[in-house]
Amino acid sequence: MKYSAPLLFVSLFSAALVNGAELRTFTNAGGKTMEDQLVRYDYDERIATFDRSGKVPLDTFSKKDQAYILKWNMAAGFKSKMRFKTELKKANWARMKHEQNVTPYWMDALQVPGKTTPAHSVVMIDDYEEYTALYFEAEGYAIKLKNQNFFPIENVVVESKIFYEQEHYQIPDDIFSSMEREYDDTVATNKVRFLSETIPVIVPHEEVIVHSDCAIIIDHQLDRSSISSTTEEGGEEDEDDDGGDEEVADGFGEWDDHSRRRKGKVTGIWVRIGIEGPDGAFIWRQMVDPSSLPKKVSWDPTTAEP
Amino acid sequence: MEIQKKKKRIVASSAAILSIGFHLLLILVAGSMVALKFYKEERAGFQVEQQKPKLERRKLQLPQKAEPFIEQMTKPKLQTTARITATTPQMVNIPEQGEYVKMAPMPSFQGGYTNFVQMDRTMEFNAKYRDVSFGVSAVDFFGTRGKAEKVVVVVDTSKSMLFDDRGGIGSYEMVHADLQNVIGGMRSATLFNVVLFDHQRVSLFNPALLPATPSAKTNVLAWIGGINTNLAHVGISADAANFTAKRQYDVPMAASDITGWLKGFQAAIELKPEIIFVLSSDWGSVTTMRQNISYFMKREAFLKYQKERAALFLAEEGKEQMDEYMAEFSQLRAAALKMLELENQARLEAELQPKVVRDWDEILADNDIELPTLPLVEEPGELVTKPVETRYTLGEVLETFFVIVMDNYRQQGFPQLNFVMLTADGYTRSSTEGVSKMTSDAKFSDLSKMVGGRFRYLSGMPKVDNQLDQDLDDVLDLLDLEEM
Repeated sequence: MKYSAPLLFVSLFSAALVNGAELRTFTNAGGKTMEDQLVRYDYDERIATFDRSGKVPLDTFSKKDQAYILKWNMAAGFKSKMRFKTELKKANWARMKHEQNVTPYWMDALQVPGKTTPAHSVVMIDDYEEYTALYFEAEGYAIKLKNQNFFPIENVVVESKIFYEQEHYQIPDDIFSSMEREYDDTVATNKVRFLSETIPVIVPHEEVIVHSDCAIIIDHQLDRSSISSTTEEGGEEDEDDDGGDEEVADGFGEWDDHSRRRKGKVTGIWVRIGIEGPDGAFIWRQMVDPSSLPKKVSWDPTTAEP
Repeated sequence: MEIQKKKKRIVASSAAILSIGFHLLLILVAGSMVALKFYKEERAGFQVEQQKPKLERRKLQLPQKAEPFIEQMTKPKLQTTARITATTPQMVNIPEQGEYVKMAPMPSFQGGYTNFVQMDRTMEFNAKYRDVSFGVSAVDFFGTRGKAEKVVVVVDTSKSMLFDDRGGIGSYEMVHADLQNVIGGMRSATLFNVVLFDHQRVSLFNPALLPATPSAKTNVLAWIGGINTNLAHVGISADAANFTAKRQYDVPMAASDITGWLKGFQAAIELKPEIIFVLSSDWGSVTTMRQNISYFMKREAFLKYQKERAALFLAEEGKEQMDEYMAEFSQLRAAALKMLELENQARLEAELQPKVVRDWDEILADNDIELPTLPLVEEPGELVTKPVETRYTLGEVLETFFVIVMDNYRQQGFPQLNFVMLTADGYTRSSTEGVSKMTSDAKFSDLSKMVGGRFRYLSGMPKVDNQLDQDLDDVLDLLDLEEM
């Protein structure tokens, strides 16, 4: 490509500005020191380029400074968005769905002394039918890392936090309480799942995909609006019930009012990818999806948003 | 000069004559040798040679259809046993360089009204971390089939597998035989494990998956073989329960309420096999004998509810009613225990295994004796804790199931899951409770459909009949006599 060389130059230049912004004292194998600014390192030739001293072979430095130069180079390659590419992709990992029309029932259980199994009393509410639907979805993100440097990037830490919210009902599904006002009320709970993985090495031109933790999203729907009856008599009863304010069954209230639904959704993902810098501190690159996520959540809830 | 020339001519001509003569001599000698040889061979033609016995050539034992050796190598012979079929290895799928963590094709949603789990069955299981499929075994566990390299079988050892109406020990012998076939037929490169469960207790043969080597198979079969052979000691002993969950799950069910097949399944899931077979007799921790309802109980809420209920009974002046019930109940309990004792005594004399019962009142039902009707609170709506709160809804159990699987498998999606349920011989599958999804089989069947797995009924051996027909009055008289 025509513009690849200038782009490479810009990227190298910016990397040099970022990483070699300060003077440092380097020591050679004989103990002689020099204060200079490291601007570039050629991995294949094993030659470091300094601002004032020019090109110096790596082997001439002390072991400690050799390690520093190598880490500095790795950090420069890691920080470059051109040379170390990252990508997020949302995916649905599994779905489970359950739908049914059932005859509702009321069941009571009593523990009788001396018996293992409780005694049960079951009342089938035969003339009525309720529809329930349950959807379970496991969603997560694939985090793609591609090393386009000519040298390996080692010990890459990938930390991800997947944020999602899930609604819960305020009260349990008891037909006696289903006529209460808060029966269909839900409360949303914000959830976050953290996962950390370390990739030992990403060799040149290698593409590695790691995954976030899994967000479990539940969508539950209970619909009792379609009252059905198995007998003609029942059908007549239904008509009567629709017309008047009488309760369809003792204590159960108005049947067709007793529908409710709770849902959930993935809010987004926050990913931190880091390696240890030349001075020992971690260098992080961050990705969020959607881009507005930092306005809603923070990486560390105890500190201010980064 | 002329003389010299003449001499030269004479010398030259004599040399030529000598040469010609020598060559003629050579030709004569050679010709005579040829003539001699020809003459000798002519004579040999008249000699009668001794006839040597003719050696019979062995016929080559060739296959009917000769194939190049390399082709034979790529076509292993089919090994067929009664239940296990070792088939050809699956297509080799070698991962590309640098794809050791590359994600499998993601499931896609295609809509539809049926219950399902969307996933790619081939997934990474067939490619990731694996070079060849030498360890793929085809398993047939009571009619639920699957092929995989990593197999876990989860087996119910609770007493509900041994009830009289489910065929007693005869049905469990059937389980032993099938396990022997399944495990015995596995290829040695297959990784496997067996998980046994008995309510709260779960026991793994090995903490991790292990190769199905002949010694491992022998050991695991010996281990299983010792389970439920003596009905005086049913299930797993406390010291054999060796499973502790590797992680905490964010699920609606309390860890202590996850029991039975669900706990055994959890142990299997944490081993991350490709295929799991579950054999269970019941769905939940509570299965009623008469109503055929099965559910997971919320133990803590249930105890709270019982306390509230007892208090309400007293408030409703139901104590008298309850005392009356308990008096009759206690008398019947004593009678039932005596009946059980007599029945087991008779079975011992007939060299039969003792009777395994759901609860002591089962023998009353066997002898057509009914327990008194349970007195109910008149206004159950007044209770703070509702009866529905004492049990987990199907949705809560399914959520627990889904979270346990996905927390372990994440991007890999679901493994293959198959369920087998032991039922009584001649079990009626459709019932009102079944339609309302209260029965064990309705729930297992639905779950199997949801995860794209298979569900099979395992019809138990014929019912074990009681040795004695007992009369309540006779037993009560006997108890009175004993008291005296």
